[in-house]
Amino acid sequence: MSLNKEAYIRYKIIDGCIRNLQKPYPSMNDLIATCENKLGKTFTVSTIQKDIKTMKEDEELGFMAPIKFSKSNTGYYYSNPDFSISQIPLQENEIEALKTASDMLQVISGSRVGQSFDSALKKIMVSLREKTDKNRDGLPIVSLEKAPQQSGLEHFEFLINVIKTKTAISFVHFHFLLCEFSTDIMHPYQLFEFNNNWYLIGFSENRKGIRVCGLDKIFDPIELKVPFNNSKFQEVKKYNEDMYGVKPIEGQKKQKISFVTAPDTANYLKAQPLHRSQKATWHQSQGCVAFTINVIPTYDLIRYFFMNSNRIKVFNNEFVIEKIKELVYDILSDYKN
Amino acid sequence: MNKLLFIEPNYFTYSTNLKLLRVELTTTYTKIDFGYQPFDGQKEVKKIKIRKEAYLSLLDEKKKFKLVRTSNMPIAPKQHIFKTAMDWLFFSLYFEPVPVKYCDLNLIENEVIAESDFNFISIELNKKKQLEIK
Repeated sequence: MSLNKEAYIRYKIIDGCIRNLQKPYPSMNDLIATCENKLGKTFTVSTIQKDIKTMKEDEELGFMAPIKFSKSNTGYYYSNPDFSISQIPLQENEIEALKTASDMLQVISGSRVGQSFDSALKKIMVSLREKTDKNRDGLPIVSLEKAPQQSGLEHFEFLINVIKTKTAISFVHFHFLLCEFSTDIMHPYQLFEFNNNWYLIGFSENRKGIRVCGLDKIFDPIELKVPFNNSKFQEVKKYNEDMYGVKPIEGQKKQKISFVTAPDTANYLKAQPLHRSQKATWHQSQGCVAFTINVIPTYDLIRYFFMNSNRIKVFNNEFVIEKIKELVYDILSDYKN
Repeated sequence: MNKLLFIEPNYFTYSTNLKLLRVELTTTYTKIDFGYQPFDGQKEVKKIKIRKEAYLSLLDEKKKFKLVRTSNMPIAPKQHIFKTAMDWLFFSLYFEPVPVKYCDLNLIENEVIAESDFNFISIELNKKKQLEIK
């Protein structure tokens, strides 16, 4: 590993430690220990001090990180709690380079590359405009949704790498509902996003099948030297294409779900379909519309119908209707007590 | 095999909140991962810390392998104070390296065993459960 690359990884580790809400105000010893643990070699106080100075002051690097030391908490913190080195605005020359590259890409995107690339390119362009184009009041002309940063994202790059290299990992998992720690060995296939949360999908040795884990529940993933199990790789397609949400309800197959919507909701769903299989099957003269989707039911889908139950009514699918009713009964019994 | 991982080994402890999750043996350190989790019906809001005198020992051997650092766990007199009875914590303890071999380990914080201490006896590092770390 080149020195520059290693230094950059250290900056990211230090940034992650300072932003770790579970353990705020990391001390110098904490920073050294985390760097040593992640990079597998020893570091001196002076190295980490230099790293902090560079992150704070190096104009070429451009972080200008607002790192401060709290005497009362004996540790480091950002004076701007929203700061992260991964959210550093692009520099002028980088913006120009990206604009030139994106112009070139736009020329070819229409004809020579697929729709998904075109969509990715549009996202980059919107993001670039958000960062660079501001009106006279300093407000960006476009603003993207910014969800609070999910914990566990510090493993994102590591997970991308193990997926690419087909490397199995051991990790510790915390089950929020059961309040219980466990371990698993996962053969990771893909990272995917749903409702601003990131998930890892792969073959789980504990479950002998596909498992989906939120990155916020994964701790300390470690690369293992074991043969990679690719046997369930094709099943990932099912998660990508046949579901609304993250986890399928056990034992359920892809099925038709029909629902009728109030006029305003119909407009939203026409503009932004719930699923790629969505079809309008009936239009009432006052504006109500019936749709069908063809999906594997998920808890996310049931929650969606439940939360919109004053605007959307499911019909023709007893299983889904029963699941929505269960949620309604749960709430009713809570309020009765 | 420079680095070995043992997942959820068998062990004995009086602790009701701590779960020993993994043991990592390397030539430079021995790392033990723990999860602090509330038990069913727990009402008491607890505090947690480890004494710097904590050590690992091999069964039937006198040599002690000292605690060298921790991750996410304060060393006494500092302590982690949970905010509610349902809080949880993942943390790791690093000790001097024990020989990379199959053996039983003891983790001793206090010779006088109490529920609140880190005393884990006969942590079984079994060849059948070993994994090689990349």
